[in-house]
Amino acid sequence: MAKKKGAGTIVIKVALWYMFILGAFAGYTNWLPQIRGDAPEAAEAINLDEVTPDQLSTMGEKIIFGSNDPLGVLAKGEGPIGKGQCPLCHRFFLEQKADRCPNLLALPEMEPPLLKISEEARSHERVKGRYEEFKKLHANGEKNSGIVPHATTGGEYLIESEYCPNCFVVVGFGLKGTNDTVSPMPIINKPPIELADTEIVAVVSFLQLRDGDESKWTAKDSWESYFGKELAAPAEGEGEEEEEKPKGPPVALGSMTVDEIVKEMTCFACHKIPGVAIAKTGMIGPLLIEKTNAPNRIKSPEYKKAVKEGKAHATTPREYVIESIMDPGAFIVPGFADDMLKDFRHKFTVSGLDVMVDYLLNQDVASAVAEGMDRLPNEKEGSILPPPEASLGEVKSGDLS
Amino acid sequence: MFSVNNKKKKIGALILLSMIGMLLLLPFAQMDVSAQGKEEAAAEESAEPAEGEIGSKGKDKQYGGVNEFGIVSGPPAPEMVYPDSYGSYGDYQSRTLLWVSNQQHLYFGSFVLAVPMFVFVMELIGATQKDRKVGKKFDDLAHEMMKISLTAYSVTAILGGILIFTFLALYPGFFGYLASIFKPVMHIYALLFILESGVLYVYYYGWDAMNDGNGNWKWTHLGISCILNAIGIVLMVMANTWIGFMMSPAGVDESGRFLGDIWKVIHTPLMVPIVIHRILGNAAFGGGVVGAYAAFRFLSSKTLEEKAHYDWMSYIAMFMGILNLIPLPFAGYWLMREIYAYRQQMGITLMGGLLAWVFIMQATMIATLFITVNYYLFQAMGRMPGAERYYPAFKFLLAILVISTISWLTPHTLVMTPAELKAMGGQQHPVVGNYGVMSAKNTAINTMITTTVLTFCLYQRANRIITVPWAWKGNCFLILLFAMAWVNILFLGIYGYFIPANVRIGLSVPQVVSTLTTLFVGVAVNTKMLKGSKEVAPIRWGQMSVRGAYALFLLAVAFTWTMAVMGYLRSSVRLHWHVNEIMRDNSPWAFTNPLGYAGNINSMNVLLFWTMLLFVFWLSSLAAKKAPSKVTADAGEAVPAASH
Repeated sequence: MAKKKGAGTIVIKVALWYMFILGAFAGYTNWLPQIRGDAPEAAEAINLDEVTPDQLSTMGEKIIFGSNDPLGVLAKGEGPIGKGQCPLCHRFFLEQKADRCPNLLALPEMEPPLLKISEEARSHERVKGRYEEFKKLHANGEKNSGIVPHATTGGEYLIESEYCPNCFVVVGFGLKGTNDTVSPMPIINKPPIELADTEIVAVVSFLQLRDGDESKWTAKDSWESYFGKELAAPAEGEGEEEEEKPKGPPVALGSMTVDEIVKEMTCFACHKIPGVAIAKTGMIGPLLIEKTNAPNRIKSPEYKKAVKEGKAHATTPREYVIESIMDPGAFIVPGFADDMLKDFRHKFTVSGLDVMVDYLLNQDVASAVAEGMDRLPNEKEGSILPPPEASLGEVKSGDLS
Repeated sequence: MFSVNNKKKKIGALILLSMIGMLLLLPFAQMDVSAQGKEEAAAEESAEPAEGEIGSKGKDKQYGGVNEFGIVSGPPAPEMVYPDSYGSYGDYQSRTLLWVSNQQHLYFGSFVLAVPMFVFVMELIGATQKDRKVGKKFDDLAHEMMKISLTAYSVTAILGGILIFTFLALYPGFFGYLASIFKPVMHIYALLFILESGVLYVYYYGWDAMNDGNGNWKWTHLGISCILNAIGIVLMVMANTWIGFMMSPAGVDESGRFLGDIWKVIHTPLMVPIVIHRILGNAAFGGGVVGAYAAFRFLSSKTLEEKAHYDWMSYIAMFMGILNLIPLPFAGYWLMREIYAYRQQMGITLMGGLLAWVFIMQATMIATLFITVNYYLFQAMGRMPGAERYYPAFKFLLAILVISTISWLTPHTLVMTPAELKAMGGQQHPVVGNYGVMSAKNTAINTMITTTVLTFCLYQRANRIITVPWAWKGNCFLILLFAMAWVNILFLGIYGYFIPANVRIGLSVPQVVSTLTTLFVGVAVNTKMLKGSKEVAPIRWGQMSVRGAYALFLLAVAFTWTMAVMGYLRSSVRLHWHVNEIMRDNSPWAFTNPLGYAGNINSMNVLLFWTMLLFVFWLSSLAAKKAPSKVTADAGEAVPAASH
């Protein structure tokens, strides 16, 4: 008879089997596309007197798709979903699948005929006929928004549909059992989407200007005529409220500019960064020209040694820059001490980090030289400024020596 | 030993049972009083408070009609400010720390909720068996499982304490708000927990004393089991109300002010489907854990008797797990439907937006579960003489399962390089892309479940020869039933491509009906046909292959992992909200982690859970050294058809 296995051997075998299964599951999730969902950024402050329709339209496109290249995002296999979340339900492109809400395709040459007219004209059609029924239905104000349907133009209809989706529901797109009187669309200026008034105007601007005909742009005027008041910029008032709040520790957000992040995180105290007005004099840390530095650093013997010791892990320039900010002790640039603050991982949001990393990865020798910046004398990689006799034109991007 | 004629003791047991029942109702009586007091207090208020102030009329965020308004009874949800409203430990993401402590508590909570359900069914089967030898087998099995559960209770309580401390240390603002909303029922939760412990001890320690086979004391003992399970389910429902409120808040106004009616806060739009989904999920998970325990004991058993016992136990546990796994996708589907009805963009974020890839992972997990179950049954048939005639069918069944899995796993869109995109001529593959939509996926899962039901029917028949005179008619009916079910599922799946999404969603109902018909009608007819059947030879319990035992481990890990990944999904769909649309997450971690990160944390959580569970098993084994001597199953002994 075969010798019986002890419980210990079986525990080890089962443990190994468990580890294998868990490793396989975790590995599979890491192999699938990695998509991170960031919290929406705060409304962009704009000067309403100076902003052009095109600028508003560009802003609207970003709010809708989260990018000004939605087709590029689609091509990558991702959904172009911005802060407004519109493409979750509305179809904007033939390449996109979304049929839960009326399509917003702008293809005048397409069949069927509905698609032949622009969004503005299509909206104008909707404030006629069946719209009167909704006026009667909500004569005392629609219950969630308090609005009485009163749009008279296509522009006003588009504005109204954002603030009061139930004020008119397109046939076939109402909630089941409501006879197309209740819309599944959330109120856009309320949670969870919470777009500011100017952002809604920007979205409507995008819808009106998609076919490039600026004469159709009425978004701002439509908003003002619909609500009977002047459209106010979001920064006003909100700023005063901010002042009254106790200020917490600095945080780098995706909505901030690079200058603001550098100032808030006090990077300028130690580093020189090309293109950032406040960061011209730092004498404690390396010059931050990461388009040049990062690829060379990860190839350096010092970095390879840090990798071998298990301290550093970057394999690409981007990973190197992220690692330098999130875990400054992972690799110390030769010639410097390990005295960078270690709490940036708590101060940067993921989108804030993206803004900073993207910027640093665009800075190279040429951008530093253009501003007369040089490495510190203790930097092993040496000076980047050309000898006095050479001209700036001879310095190439990526030149290290 | 008790005597059936011992009337005094019987009366004593009934009084004890009644007292426990009364104690159960006590907290609710108190709730009524408090609610009544609030109404009186509100009535006493004569002055009209300003809008939004305590005592003023507030519009419910969710309820409409006659329930639309309530009396403002609390402050608005606080605005969370980082870092004032948050805490952190060193370099770690607070959210991940909370995630781990929550998940561990949930695992053990699920385990101690599921095991008494499992134990109740086993004890009930034991008590109703005419053959007392078989009845005792089920009773011993139930007793053994309860022993393990007892240690797990302490671990659950400790983990619950750790969870509360984690909330208080890392998310004090959020926890404070939720505690203020659920204040009217929080103490009930605590009282029920104490009550459950009391009932549990009476139930467990009274096992031998109240074991008179299938006499009155045994039924009293089963009554206590019912109470124990009822308390467990109420506890779980109460814990679930917090997540239901976080996902779909109700009973509060737009600013999060409590409107005085705790029932509305509890009864949110997603509460019922979440609870049903959780109960089924817990029961399936419990079956998986018990199955893994039995498989381990099976592998480490030194005698054939022990092996026979644990082989049989693992089969029973697997059967219980599957019984609850089969309706689980439907419960999940119902939950998704309710999510769509509650907030359409929430549903699309899950199924077609940010979190769509998680569903590919979920599909992998469910497919793993079903394939593993079928594999286990194929292996289990190896110890059933007469099953050889069904061996040729295995490869076809496996092929159907694999094809369904591949179809289910096919994503809607693919990640491609620009060159690949150009070569393909679009984001969607002209052929493969068709399998990425819901029509294909619904068809796949329904086909997999129907196939599993068929495998189970074959398992039931494996060592039997049907003798009923209507055998050929029965066989024709079953062939027709399964064939029609598959044709219907496939036809509706294809038809779904030609109709709009909002109509397509309705097709899943007839697909599910087809599947459930095979489950209920098919299994019922098959069981009826087996009545009076001849046995080819008894099942050779204890001779299950080692591969079968390892399949049970895979089943258990897959259950645990699926729970984790679906928890990540459910929690992530709130995006940057602690309480959807009411309390925004303003911490630096207000982003949704990518799937890979979640996968790593899930694997770590599952490993931690199983390591702790191993400790629990070991602890219980210290007190159970004598347990195998109670085993009455002989190697190769047949068990009744009811246990198949």
